Amino acid sequence: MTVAIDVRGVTKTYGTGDAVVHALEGIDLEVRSGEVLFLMGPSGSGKTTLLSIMGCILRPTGGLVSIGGEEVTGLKESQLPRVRLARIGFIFQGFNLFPALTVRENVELALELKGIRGRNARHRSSELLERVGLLDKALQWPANLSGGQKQRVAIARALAGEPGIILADEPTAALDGTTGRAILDLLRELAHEKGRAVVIVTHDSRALPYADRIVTIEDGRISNGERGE
Amino acid sequence: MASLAWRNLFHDRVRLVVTLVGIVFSVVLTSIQFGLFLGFVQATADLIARSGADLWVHSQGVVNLENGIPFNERKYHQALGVPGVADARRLTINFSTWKKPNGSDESILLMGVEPDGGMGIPWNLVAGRVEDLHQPDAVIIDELYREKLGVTGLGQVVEIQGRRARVVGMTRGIRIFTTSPAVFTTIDRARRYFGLPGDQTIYVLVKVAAGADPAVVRQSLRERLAYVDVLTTAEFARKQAFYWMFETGAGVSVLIAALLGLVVGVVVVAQTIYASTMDHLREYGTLKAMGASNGYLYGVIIRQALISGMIGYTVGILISLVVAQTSLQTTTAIILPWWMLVILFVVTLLMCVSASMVSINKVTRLDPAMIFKG
Repeated sequence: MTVAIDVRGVTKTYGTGDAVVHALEGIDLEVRSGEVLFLMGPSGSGKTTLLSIMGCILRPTGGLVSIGGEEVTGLKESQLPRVRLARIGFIFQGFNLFPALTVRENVELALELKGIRGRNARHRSSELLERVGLLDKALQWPANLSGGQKQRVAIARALAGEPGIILADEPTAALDGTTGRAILDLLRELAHEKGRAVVIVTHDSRALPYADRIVTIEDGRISNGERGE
Repeated sequence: MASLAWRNLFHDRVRLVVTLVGIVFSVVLTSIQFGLFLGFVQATADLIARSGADLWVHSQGVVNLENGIPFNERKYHQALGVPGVADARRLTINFSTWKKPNGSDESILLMGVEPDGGMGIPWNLVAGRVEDLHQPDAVIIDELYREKLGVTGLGQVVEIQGRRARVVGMTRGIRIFTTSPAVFTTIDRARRYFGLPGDQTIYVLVKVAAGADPAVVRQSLRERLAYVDVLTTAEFARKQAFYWMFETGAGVSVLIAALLGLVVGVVVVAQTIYASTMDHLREYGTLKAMGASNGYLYGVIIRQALISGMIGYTVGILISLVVAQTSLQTTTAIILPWWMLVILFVVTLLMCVSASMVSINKVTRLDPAMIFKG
């Protein structure tokens, strides 16, 4: 399996002087295509910070990060949206759907960012919604959907750019057990059958059977000794 | 797909209404305040600007219309003989006392005019004719001040400076900046009311002959007539407006109120647009995570601000125009010229975009935790 994300010696500090906070201290981690990697750890351990750095939303203070073989820590701020657009799909705990857009439009918005519009966008959004089983809800407003349905729309949206990497932050936290398992099934399928690297931040111990690998972070360090090789 | 900016705005109707109310309030406040200022400026100088004269001759040292200094009307005859002068008319202006039918007194601005001269005469008559001023004791008032002067209709008999006067006509819209309404009568009668000698006048209004250069005529008048000043109508109107607006301090308060209106308007619009953008901050963060460029985000936010600004401006100006139209029935006019509407339109959009730029800063420095946490 190829390495989708390579994190080497990454540190992240906030503040200066006496107020300095070390959110991450020398993180080394590889995430391979086709695997589901769980990032676990107590609140404030640095999971979200690491996920943000892997998602090119946040810059590390030190260390190197490569996405799909491209070293991104040296890129300019203005170049990072291109990396996110081309390589990364995000799934959020709160779904983060656009309430003013219909289900279809939420997916088409992601396609629009890729430059896909009109008939092509309509066709592609239908495919994506069909894949998550929500084509019949295409004209619904997000507010009219259940939590599981919203998360599936979010997954369809995340897949719009055909990213090699899916980063999910607590994707089942707002869902009941059955719905949560269905979402995890979908994410595992995306990794195993479509060859995507899926990183999931979770506290949910019921999700553990879905992990190919588990990395635990405590106080900004990987605590289970795993480098993920 | 419909624009995200448009959909964001119209999806949350309550939020949209709150935003628009803020902008409409600002537009109405600002336009009314500046309209009032312009109305006051016009009220100070209307008697000059609409006199029909090209040049005004007055004693040296006169700083405003209402406080003219009498001079011998020999100069009026001299003016008639200056090359390039087509016509000249005398005009007296004095504050006088008007006794209402109920016995109480009102201060008035008594205008002594030559009814047949076409200069300095009342305009926009809605009852009677200017020539009616030739009737015994005749005066013309403005209907806006009817109640103030205790006049119930034409033919009403009152007293000016203890002498009989009779209302023979009414104008509409001759507003005066001071609390003393303009009352027109003949120059001879005005001189009697005021006790001014029959050979004295306070102003001479000059009409320049067709083809003559007003600047040259003015210079000739200055050279021929001693101890007087000659101003063009525009100059005197500016001088008069400046006197009332700035030298007396009366207009400064109006201008300060207008500027405060603008400041309050800016703050309200900025706060409203900022709050509106902040409401969607999480969505912008999500867009950013999805790979939207800063340019795309700026486009959405600025479009949203512009749409809000345009709708708010349109509604606000319509309200202001209705208020301005209504004000024409009162002694305090609100004037909204087209150029002010254009300036206000640009200012409103600039305010909206500037306010949204402040929130753009927030978007570009977004804490990732805000996007990720539910």
